[in-house]
Amino acid sequence: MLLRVDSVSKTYHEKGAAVPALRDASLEIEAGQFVAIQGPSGSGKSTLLLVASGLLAPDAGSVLLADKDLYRLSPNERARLRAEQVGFVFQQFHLIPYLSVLENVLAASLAVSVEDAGNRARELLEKLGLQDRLSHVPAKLSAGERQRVALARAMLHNPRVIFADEPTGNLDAENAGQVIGYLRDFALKGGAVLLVTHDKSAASQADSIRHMDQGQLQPTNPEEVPVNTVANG
Amino acid sequence: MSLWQLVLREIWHRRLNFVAAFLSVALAVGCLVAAMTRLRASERETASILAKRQREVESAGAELKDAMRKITKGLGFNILILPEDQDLDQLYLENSLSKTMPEPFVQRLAESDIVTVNHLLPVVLQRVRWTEHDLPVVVMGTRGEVPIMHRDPKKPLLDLVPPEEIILGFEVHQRLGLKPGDKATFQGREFTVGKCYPQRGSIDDSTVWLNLGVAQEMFGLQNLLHGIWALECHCAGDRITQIRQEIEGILPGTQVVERFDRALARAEARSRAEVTAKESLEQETASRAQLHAQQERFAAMLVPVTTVLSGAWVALLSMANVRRRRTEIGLLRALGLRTGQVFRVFWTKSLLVGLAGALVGVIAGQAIAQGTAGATAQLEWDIVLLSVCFAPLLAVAAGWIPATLAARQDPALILHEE
Ligand SMILES: Nc1ncnc2c1ncn2[C@@H]1O[C@H](COP(=O)(O)OP(=O)(O)OP(=O)(O)O)[C@@H](O)[C@H]1O
Ligand SMILES: [Mg+2]
Repeated sequence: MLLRVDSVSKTYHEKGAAVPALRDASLEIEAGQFVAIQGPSGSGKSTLLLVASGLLAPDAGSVLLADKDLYRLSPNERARLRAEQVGFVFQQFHLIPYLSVLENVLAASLAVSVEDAGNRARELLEKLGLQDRLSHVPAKLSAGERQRVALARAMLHNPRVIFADEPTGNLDAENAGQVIGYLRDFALKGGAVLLVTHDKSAASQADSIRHMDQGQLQPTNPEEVPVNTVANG
Repeated sequence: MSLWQLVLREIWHRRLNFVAAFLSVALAVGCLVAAMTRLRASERETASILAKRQREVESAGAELKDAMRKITKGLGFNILILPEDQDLDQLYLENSLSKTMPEPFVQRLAESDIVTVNHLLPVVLQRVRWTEHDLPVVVMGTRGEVPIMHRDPKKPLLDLVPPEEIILGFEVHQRLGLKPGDKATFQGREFTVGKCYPQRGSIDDSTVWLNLGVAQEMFGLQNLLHGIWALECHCAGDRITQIRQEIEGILPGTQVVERFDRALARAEARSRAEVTAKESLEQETASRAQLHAQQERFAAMLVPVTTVLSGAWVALLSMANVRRRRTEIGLLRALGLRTGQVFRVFWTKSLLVGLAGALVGVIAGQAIAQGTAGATAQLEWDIVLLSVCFAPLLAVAAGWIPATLAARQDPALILHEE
């Protein structure tokens, strides 16, 4: 198992008020698996993604990524694991505004050395149809182009899992379809994808869809489970 | 892609922010460099002014010595060496002497190692009536000074009188209507008037000077002297007892008379000149010290104030920079940067702010120092070095807390920040 989220709970404490965001949530993803999570706003989807990717320690439960118990590692070891094994795609793209397209992709090599990073970045950008935009800054790009740059960045260092939080939230249907297509390809080549989305058609591309409500992951709905999905018990 | 490149790109992207930060560091460095360089310049200037003043005092001293020599010449010799049995009343009341000493005495004195007197003048002094004009005059026969052998020859105080010449004091040539070059008969002998002295307001005005040999012959005093006129040395400390002791040892049977008025005038003139010179030097030293203290106080206030202000400004700008880059920091953390690396991104930027500030500050400070203190403001390498260390330290210190906050920022906000 590549990623195992085991009974995690997380409660935010905001100005004295406790906001439970995750309640005993469990999830498993294998290499090559594309899992989508759907749920109403505020149900804890982003929180789950943060916990699963090692950015937010849960109050209870554990996360195993590549056989490592994330929250037993030191912060630096966790950062290293993230640098090596994890890619992110965000709704807001989060491209660095002062770096060119190429440099933004290469930013994924700031924390980990990537072999022949320059050429690999160029190849990825070419595959994503951005070969003519290498030296442009993000402000010059359309939303779809920006998200494709973010995708290239998420893939530069050959991660084993990509976490995507509403990657199509700011895109039109055509661009959204492209982005989901690339994530699909990534999974087909053996990568794991955890996608949080509102978009039904995006979710439909996934191997499995999990519903989240009030911090709890609902049991898998058999109707929505594609053929090769490993169900969570 | 390296952290360095990231830092440089960000600086270029927000260059106004960077310029605002490093200019404030440059301001602090500039003040430091300008103030310290000016202090140094003024120290150097002080040294050179005081050295110049010292030289002036010395050369004034030398001039004064020369002037004094001339004054003393006017005052005349102040040490009289006379035969022991010479009645001094005769000298004071008649300006005449009757007792004698052998002429070789002067040679003996000159060849001795005497140090307390100078300018030996063998003298024959006689009050006579100028028979041709029925005019009472004092005759002074001298043969010019006898150089003291163990010392450098000094410029003579009295001019040598050639045998065929006669030199006349003011009253004498006025009464007789004589001028230089005129012929004059004195006690039956023919002379040419050599010089006519201007008024001196002393017995000199009623004196005629003859060559020593001529005078000795005229008064029947071959190989004899009435006395030796001398000038006491500066080095003797104006001590007549010492002079007496020394001369007694060399010339037994003589008495030494000091003409007090003249000795006093000499000593006073000398000490007054010394005091004046010293006072002016002291005054200059004090006023320079005051100026220096003033500049030091100013620097002591200016440098910390600008340092604190600039540090606060850099800290504020760094803080604003960190706040503005919250999502970027979150992204960097998501990309796997360790907290130390995030810290380094901001730390490096502070360092560059400091270095740029040092560069601009040193140049500006030097320009200011040179503009206000002129060429005496040189490039002070130690101050430059100090600034090049001080500025980055200041900037890094000011950026420390913001950089720490950046490194500690919760990486989770990447998904919750708009
Ligand atoms: N940093 C925080 N401090 C306090 N409460 C928080 C914080 N982050 C999230 N929450 C709360 O936790 C709950 C879950 O939030 P989360 O962002 O995980 O939901 P979500 O499912 O991603 O919502 P959306 O679909 O709108 O993105 C919400 O009620 C939210 O208000
Ligand atoms: Mg969310």
